[in-house]
Amino acid sequence: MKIEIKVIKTEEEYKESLKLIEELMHKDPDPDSEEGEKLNLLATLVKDYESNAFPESLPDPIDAILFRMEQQNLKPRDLIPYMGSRSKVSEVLSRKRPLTISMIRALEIGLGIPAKVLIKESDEFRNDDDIVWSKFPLKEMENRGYFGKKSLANSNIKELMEDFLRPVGTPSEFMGMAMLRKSYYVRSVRPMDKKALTAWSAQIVKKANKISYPTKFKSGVVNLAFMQKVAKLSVEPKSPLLAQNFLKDNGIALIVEPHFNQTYLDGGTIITNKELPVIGLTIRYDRLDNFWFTLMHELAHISLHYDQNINLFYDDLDRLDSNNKEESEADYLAGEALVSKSKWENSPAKLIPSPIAAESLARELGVHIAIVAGKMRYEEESYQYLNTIVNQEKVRKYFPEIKWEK
Amino acid sequence: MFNSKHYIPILKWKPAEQRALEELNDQEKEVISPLIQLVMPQPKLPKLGAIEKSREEQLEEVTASFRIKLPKIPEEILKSWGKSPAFIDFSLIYTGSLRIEGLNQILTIGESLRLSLIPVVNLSSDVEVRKATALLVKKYSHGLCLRLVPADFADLASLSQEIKNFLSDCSLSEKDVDLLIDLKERDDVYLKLIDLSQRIPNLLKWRTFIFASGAFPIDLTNCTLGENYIPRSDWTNWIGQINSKKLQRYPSFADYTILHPIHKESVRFFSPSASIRYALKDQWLVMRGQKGKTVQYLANAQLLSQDQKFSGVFRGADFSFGDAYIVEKGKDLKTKKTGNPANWLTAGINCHLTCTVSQIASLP
Repeated sequence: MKIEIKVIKTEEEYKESLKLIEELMHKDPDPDSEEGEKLNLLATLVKDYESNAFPESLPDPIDAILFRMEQQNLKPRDLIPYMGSRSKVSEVLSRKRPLTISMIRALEIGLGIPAKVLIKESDEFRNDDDIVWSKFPLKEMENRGYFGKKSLANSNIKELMEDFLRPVGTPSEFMGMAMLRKSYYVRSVRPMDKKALTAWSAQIVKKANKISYPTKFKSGVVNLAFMQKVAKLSVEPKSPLLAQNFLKDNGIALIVEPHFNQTYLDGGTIITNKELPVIGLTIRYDRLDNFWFTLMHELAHISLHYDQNINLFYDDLDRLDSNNKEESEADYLAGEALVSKSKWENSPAKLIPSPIAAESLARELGVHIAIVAGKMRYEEESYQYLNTIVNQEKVRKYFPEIKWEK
Repeated sequence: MFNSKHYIPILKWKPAEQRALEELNDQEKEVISPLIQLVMPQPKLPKLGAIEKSREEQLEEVTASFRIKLPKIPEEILKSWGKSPAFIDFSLIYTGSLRIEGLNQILTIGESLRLSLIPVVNLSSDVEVRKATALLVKKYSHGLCLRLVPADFADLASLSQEIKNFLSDCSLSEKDVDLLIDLKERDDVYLKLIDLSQRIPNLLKWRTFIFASGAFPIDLTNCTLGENYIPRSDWTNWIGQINSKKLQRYPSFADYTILHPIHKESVRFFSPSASIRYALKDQWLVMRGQKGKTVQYLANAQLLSQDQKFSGVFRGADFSFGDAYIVEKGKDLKTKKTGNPANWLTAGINCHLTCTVSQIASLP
């Protein structure tokens, strides 16, 4: 049996690999045989894919207890047998006392809450007093000038952070509440540091709030036609700035802010303030194709998810997120705005990754050639093609006020 | 027979080349006299699990196969080219005896079909081949073509003597002989050879005077995916001389179309890139595809025939069979009828022939 083993990147490859594993297992090969080794390797690759694609998202332990109480109609006093006393129950539920091992054992047996959930640290963002401020990326924030003239060396960290966050609220107001309501979504290959995300988000909201907008944002204004109009700006000189201005004129903030080391963000959308949707782009890759796809993806979130439950999207677009409905929808709409499926399907660019094919389709669509080249590389799953085109036009240079890493 | 406003494409006698000739119209054929280079057939692939034949066995096999093919060649020439004069060259046939056998059969059968075949010989051809050729030339009176190569010009005095001897041995005079100077890939000596050729004794007396060279590269490894331009230096060298008004006799133009002048046997399992070779005025446009990806022929055809970038250079379906083929294939990117490498070679050669004919025809 000829099997091609490679790193699993898509759901389709994942399903195919599962099928192969089933076939191999049916043969019950000797572990030292070629097929046995292939089975072993496939299993490792599947496990690796699963851990990225379906990260185990454990709920907050106190949330889990409150949820079970609600389900079983329990009162705090009903927890006394598991925790020891009324005061302990009160302290645990208000997150002032951590769960002990004996409490965890009792709750697992008594209420059926898995120990691995209970053992997790309670979410510190629920309570400002619990936040460990030193774990914010303070040095990087200072280097970026987030604290103005104040320095870390001469200031109280908590006060410094509270000053920084004051214009947007406390962490529990700004991030915590949204996260408690599960109204955020992080698309990422790797875990992202929540504090770094908080700092980044707060900064882009602060920057967005400083801008004056000629028009108030109207729900429904962002649709495919609107996005295609924005995409057509890509052919103009200084197109990122033109896009920024165009969006500003429509009551949408487009803020550029580099990502923090602990995050792998391409962009994010913050729709907590319904009157001012904020798009943050990190320009992690200094390329026009990346800028435009990320921008369209975030605009797609505004178009599709403005009135829905999730109002914070964090996107590491290195990862294909076909399992998440919102992300798939946003990818699709972004794709349609830049290189529509119908044009793509009937274009030489689909068949041959040549510069002239990219140029031809870009001209037909009225978008920058780098956008089409980026699409061709993505579809071909081959990033050695069209390097010159995608690397020709840089984006960071339009935002000289930012201290870009060399 | 013809003057400098005439075109001699040098073509291997293979299906793609035959079809490219066949698809020319009568008017175009009037400006052309092809030089047909016969090539040996390829040994068959061994059957699965069978042992590969030795070189001797392979030689036997291809010789036998060539012998079977020989009597059919005049018919093929008649079908693809007709009865107008055509040069026929046996220098790529493996053995002297096979060359002589080929000459005899093809010229004899050709004569019965009323073909006008002119054998080509080199100064370095075997004595036996030269003798056999001379006999046939005398018998059929279509004349003979003497092909000189750069090495022959090392010493002009001895070349003059050798030519004299050659004519004497064949009992022919210059007026019966076409003089072909074939530089093959040696573009670098073009001017030098043009200069030396003017000093060949009795230059004005030769029946025709032809200069050949080929500028198309041996392969497309230096071409990147997409559009590439390769100078047609064979053409620009020639037209430069025509326009110079300095020569005592102006040569006719001969080239190797869109193939490298040095014949290379096909490599087994070789999968050529899905590239289109398209002749322009002074250069070739090569729309390079990837190896084995035949759908890219369609993509390249659509780009070439429909993209505005090429609207100034693509001549449209009415220009030639090859152009019409490109237009047709560019219409449907989803068709499974992508055309195979031989089909695309036919289209490319046909475009080249038609383009060159129109260039020559438009000369003052």
